[in-house]
Amino acid sequence: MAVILNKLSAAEVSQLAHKFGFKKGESIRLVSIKENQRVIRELSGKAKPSRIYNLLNQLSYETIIFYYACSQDKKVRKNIIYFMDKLSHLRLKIKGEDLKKAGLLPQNLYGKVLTELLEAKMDENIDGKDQELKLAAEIIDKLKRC
Amino acid sequence: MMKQALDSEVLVLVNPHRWRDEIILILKEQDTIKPLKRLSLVVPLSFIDKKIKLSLADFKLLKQVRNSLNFYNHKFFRHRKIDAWLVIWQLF
Repeated sequence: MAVILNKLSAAEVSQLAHKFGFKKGESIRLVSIKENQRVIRELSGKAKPSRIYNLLNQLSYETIIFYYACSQDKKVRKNIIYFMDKLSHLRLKIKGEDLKKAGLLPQNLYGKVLTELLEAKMDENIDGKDQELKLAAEIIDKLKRC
Repeated sequence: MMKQALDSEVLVLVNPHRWRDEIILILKEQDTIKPLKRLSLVVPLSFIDKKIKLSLADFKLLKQVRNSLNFYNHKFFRHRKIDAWLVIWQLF
């Protein structure tokens, strides 16, 4: 990674992208590699699947592949493959509508509940709609107490 | 020709957008290393930015990037197709 760190900074990359007339999306992806190098450090340690997901899900695939290429650390590479293979397309079986049907309140917590539920699904062995609904009710209770 | 153009300082007249398109075309090549090596030998890449110089370590990294892209395309062919040139540009 030293090779990259020694070159352009995020601001310089941004200026360069502007000068060469890159599209906004391209520019964002180019800058993101400079701004997220701490991700590599975190991935080299022990991380829960939900942490790996949260670290990598915010990055473009271009950035992730670049990090994969730059890193010689087996743990980093393993975590990246695990994310691409298993976590990136993991979805909940329930939606806000299911929480509503089950009479779980308040509705303004649904976003937070579904996020926590997805993280729990990654870290624990939760499968099926019923288990997800049960855990959602527990999360709502916990959030209401906070 | 490129060297002559550089010596006569006409490259500054080239629109940066045109440069971008040309560089992207090079980076999209299946074998990026050869043309990029050749380009960096003939024309210093400082026309992109004065800090940019490709060293041997960069070319080694470029090879790793290429291998990783091939790995991605092979293993994750169902995922979104990625812009290979953008990954390589990140070397700069």
